[in-house]
Amino acid sequence: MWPKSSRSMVTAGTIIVVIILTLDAYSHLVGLDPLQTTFQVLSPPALDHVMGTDQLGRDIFSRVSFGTTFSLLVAFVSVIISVGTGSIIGALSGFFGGKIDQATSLLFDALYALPALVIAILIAAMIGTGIVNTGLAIAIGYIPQYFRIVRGIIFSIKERPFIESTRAIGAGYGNLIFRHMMPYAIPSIIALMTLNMGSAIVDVSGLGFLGLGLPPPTPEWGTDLGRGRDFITAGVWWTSTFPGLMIVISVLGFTLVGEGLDEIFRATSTRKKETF
Amino acid sequence: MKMKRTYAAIAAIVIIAIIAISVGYYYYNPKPTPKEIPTLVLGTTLDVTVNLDPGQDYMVGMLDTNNVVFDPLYEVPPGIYPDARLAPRLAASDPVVSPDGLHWTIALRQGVKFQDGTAFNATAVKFSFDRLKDLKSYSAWLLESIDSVDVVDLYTVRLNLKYPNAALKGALTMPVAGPVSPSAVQRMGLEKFQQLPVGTGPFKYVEWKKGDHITLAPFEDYWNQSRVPKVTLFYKIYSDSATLKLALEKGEIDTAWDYIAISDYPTLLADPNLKYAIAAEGYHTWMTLNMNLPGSPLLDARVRQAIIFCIDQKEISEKVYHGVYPPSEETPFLPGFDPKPSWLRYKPTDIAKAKELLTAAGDPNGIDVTLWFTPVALGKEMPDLAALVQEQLGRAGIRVTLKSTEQGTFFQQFRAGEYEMALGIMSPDYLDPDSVAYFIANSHGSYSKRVRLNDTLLDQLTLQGVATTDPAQREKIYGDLQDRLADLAVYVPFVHQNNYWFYKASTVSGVLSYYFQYSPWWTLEKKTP
Amino acid sequence: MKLRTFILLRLLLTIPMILILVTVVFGIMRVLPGDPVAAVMGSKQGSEQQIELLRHELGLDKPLYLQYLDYVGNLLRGDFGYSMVRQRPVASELADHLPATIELTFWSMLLAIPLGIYSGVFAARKAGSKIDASIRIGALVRWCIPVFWFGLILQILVVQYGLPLPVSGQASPQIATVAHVTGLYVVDAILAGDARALVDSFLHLALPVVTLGTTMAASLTKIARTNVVDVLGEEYIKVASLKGCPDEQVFQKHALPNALIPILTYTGLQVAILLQGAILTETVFAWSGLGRLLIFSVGFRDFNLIQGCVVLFALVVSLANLIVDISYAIVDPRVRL
Repeated sequence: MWPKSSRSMVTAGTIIVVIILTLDAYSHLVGLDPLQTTFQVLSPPALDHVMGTDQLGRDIFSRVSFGTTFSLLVAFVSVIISVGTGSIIGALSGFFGGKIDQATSLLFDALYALPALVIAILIAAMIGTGIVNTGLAIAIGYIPQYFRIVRGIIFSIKERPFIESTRAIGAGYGNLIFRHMMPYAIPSIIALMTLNMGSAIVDVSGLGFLGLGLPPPTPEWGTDLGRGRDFITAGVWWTSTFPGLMIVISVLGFTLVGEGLDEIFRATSTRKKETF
Repeated sequence: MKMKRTYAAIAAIVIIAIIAISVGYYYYNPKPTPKEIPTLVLGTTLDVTVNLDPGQDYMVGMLDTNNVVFDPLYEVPPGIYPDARLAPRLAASDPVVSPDGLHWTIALRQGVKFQDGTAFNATAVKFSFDRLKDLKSYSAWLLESIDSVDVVDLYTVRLNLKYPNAALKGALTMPVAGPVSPSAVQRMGLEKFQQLPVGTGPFKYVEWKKGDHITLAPFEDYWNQSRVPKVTLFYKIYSDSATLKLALEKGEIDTAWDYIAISDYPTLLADPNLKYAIAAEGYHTWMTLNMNLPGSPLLDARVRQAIIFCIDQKEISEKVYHGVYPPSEETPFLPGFDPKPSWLRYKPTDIAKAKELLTAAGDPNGIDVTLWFTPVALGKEMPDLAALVQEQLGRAGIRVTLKSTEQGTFFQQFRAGEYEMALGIMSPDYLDPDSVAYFIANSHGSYSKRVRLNDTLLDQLTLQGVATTDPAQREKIYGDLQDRLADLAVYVPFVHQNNYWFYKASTVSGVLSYYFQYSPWWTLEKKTP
Repeated sequence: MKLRTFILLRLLLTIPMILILVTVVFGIMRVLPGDPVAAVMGSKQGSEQQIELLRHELGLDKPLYLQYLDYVGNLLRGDFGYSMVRQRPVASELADHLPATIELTFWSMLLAIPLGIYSGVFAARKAGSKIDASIRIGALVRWCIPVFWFGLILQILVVQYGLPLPVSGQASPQIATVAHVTGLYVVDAILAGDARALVDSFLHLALPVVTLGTTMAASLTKIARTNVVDVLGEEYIKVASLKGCPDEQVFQKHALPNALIPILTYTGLQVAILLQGAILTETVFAWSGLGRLLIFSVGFRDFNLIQGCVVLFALVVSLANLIVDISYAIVDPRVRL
């Protein structure tokens, strides 16, 4: 049963992601303007503004479609940073072992105790906003995960005969670790990356919601949602609902793909199944 | 297993029964018999960030409650300017100022008691002023012109000034100058005192739960028996205006103080259950242009004037503030002073004129400038305001880069004058033109430093303004000051932030319009419907 | 190794971990740009002397390593420092705000654990069926909904349909304020014997708990389901079935206990995620908990207060991890090796 349901998950997820990216591309190609203010402030969804307008009279549909670029971009940056950093440190630590490994593991175990959002809040508040800054702030919280996974895998295959023999014929460390050992970690990494894209998008919007996200007037989902919150009691529901919907849909897309991949790799992997 | 299930089921039924009965009781319980003094719930988003000691801080939330717990020597009675003029409160009469302006002799009201029963007299006044020096408070500078205080006799004090300061009377209306009970400070110790300080005012502090509420009860032995409150005040703090508004609409609170968000005004104004009074608090939003930043196009006055010609205050008022805050058409608002129309030379908005000025200044292809703002500390609409200003200036080819930073960095750069243009709020402290004029026009004033303003004429005018107490002379002086500021084009006003004080029409009465931050809560009354 | 030794070692391990966290937080705060004194002064007027005075009071004019040693030394004595914005000890601020977060997270877990685990187990037993699919999809979609948006939607619905539920705060102002003994509104109401206050607290707990609880439940469902499915696929389960044990008994006696241990372990590790969700939930529903305090202190660059909040978060999570590790070791001796 497994492969079938995972296949449909991956397919469904990919379709969703493609739809979102198409919407994003559409907004750029057609030239929608997310920044143009008008005097029709806070008007409900209608023919000329299908998702209504925000508090400056800007078209929400334009903002929400344009906003895809920013949320996805920041999430992507953060995933790349955490994958890169975590994997490399994890591989080195797992390979060399010994005291360095123990110390590094301790460090990352300790970091694991800090909720990722808290770290992101601290860093974002300090270094300010911007695509790379926000991406970095979010990335730090995810590094321990990659560290653990890669370290675990490297550790487990370190003693295998084929590694020994490759060493014996004189392969250098870099070659050994990254050319021969890392590939074993790649399936897990990819599944985790996709899942993390989903979490990162949630984190970006979380920071935006708290007012620590990308600077105005950038059309970012979380920021718009957070600002739109102020108008709920005046009966204005569209300013928060539509950005939020986009977040849910995009996260759903990536998560479906990630979960599906995760299941597939698990079902087909030869190592012992881990329970979490 | 079956036994366990039975027990579980019985437990569940019992729990559900308890909940059902409680909920029924809650909703159908007859109203509790009204106490003698009704409690009026006042909702606000202004939290006390430090403590309630009037000498310690002057963040606005604290000012509001301290305004009614402490009597200043002079007050601004409720009413709309220009009817609101300074009147004696704990002072018995106007101060007698010595010819050189350096000594103010003030007669004190007699028969006044502190809320802890001790007597109010000149010794208490001296104690209250002296303690400010030891407190190293943020607000002590308001009374910085006072060098020392002498007790002349039991009910007379003499303030010895470092320099003549006509504006001091206005400064004396602030809670920081409100006498505190010396015996309370000694008896409670400073830390406890700062949690529930004791003054002479119509309300006394009963309870403070941080971040949640403050309870204020009427002081029955208040010296002005016509101002003894008829309600206990429950000052309930909400985290944001949305929840405040909801609370108001659902009847959880009787009246809403600051801060109702702009977007909520239309529904509240249309709500038949609510009435309101307007408080013109003298706050306004403005933009400051740095006139002496090396390498900046703003060095040229024509460029600054061009920027001003691009600004459309009406558009700002409509789009950012949804018509609630009226456009400000004057150079920085000087409290207690009729504005001169110096600003009209920049009206109406004229993009063509702006482009002309830019070309004359040698920038026919427009310029690049940076606009700083901080997104939350100075109001939620800041990001929207920044976006609109960016759009307005863009119409004349001025390319604005927006720089949003959290308040630490913002105020750091702002204070050092290390920015090109910044959005801010001017909030005058007390009812005297000098409370604004000195800071923004005198080269030693903190605001002037922020725009790197250094003008001899303005320096002269600000000093003259406080050296004389003659109203006609002061009017001429401050008029000239406004003209000069308009020439220099560094302060760009946007809107007046008037406050609408909403309250439940059916139960609340005695809500008075007031001017300038002074909260006459002793007039509030509540009847049970 | 002996259980006692394991517990001792594990406890000792917590200390360096917390020290590392404190150092990291301290480093982030001091090294990155932004002047805390300027943040506190804000737009207020004030002389340059006052600013310098404030800087000196905060010890910000000392060299960095001295500030660090001061801070750690104080921490070991239980002194979290002084909040310059609130003008009182950080420990008092933390004590004031901690109960709200505890109350929120406690009731949310009370909702999440039975809901999540039961639905996951249920789905696992019906693996492959339509019910299983719907539960999986439901949990997945719920997982993808950010906790703050979910709370907002609930608020919107309550407002639009005029339901008699409070949308924010921990209690109504009209309810006579009960004596705050513990700071936990439900407990205080019970202690004071005030039924109105008790019901009022529960009404205010409703929306936030549903928001945070269902968020946590969503991940628990998935974990529970995966674990139970894995266990059901194990050899010894098949053996038990073949031996003739009735399905229900196989499940209750063999499968469930083995699956529950990792599930509960995972739940304990979720405390960090739960606290994260609590920060956002507190913001949406205006509860004065640690999360709101953190956001507030970050805005004012109040170093000591920020550090205090973060250290407290870390302590709570470390404590949860400690409990989880120790209980795991008690239950499963293989871990102690």
